[in-house]
Amino acid sequence: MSAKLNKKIQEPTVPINVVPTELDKLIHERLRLGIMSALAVNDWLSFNQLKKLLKTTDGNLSVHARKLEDASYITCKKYIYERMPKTEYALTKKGRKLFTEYLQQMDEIVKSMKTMS
Amino acid sequence: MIIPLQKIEKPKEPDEHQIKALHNLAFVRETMENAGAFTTVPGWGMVTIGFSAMVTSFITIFITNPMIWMSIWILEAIIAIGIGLTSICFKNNKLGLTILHGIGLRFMINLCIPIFAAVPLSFVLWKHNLTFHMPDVWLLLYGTSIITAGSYSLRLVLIMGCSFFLLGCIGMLFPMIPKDALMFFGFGVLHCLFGMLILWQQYEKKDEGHECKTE
Repeated sequence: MSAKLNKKIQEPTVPINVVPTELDKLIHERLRLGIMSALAVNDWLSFNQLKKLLKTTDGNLSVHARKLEDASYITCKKYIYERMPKTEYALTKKGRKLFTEYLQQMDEIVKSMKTMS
Repeated sequence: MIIPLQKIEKPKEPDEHQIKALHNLAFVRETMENAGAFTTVPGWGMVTIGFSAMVTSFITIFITNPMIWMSIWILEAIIAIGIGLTSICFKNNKLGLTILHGIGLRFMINLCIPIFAAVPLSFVLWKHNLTFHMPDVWLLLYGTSIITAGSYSLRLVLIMGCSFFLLGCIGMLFPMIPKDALMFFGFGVLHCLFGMLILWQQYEKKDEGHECKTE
């Protein structure tokens, strides 16, 4: 009888402590995550727009945008507009796909947390 | 028989990865909202549209001829579209964006399609002497256009679309409500209200140091 009752105690189907070993480390950093998020809802954003949006410095944004660009997550174009140099960024297909996967992983982690509670 | 009590396990506290995931998702959402705001109609543009609609509704109270009534509101719609486009272009120019570019273009297309549907629908209603429900149809279609375009913009814009849609439904369900009152409240008050909410949201964030949204 007690065995039957014990069987009713369900083992959690979702692992309690999800260790995100396969999270994209490039995206999993606040400023780079912000860059990817902002570009996800805009075709192109300028350097200044990103800087204002993410409230960061020129140097900081440059460094992180460069890392994303080197990994082909974002693409960059430079041009002259009204005699001023402009730099714009956009997500690449690879970047958009990986960003979507990253968000899905975050979602899974949050769902596992809700299952635990 | 003694039934053993089952041990009730305390829910485990979320670990740091889970807490970070929650924060990351909230940050992503906030960033997307702020970044998407580059395509909204500025708050002052909406307030201006609202005031012009209020003035129009005061004028049309005294109009009994449906054809003249409809013509005045069509003229008001053209003026409102002009105000909206001017304010979007003015704002986007400051940011170095163009309305015919990527997400801005998608925003405009989604906004315009249901509005264009109102043209043949209004014509048919007028032709069959069914102009009584025209304000309800206009509110419904305008609400639909805001909802579809709102997916490229602030959540507040989405809520605004739902408000128009709901008002259109109320107009259809309760025909005793004067149509001029519906138009005043819908195209007048709602535009002013949401325009002021967008302005308030932006200025509040400016005080907190969020300089990303500009008018």
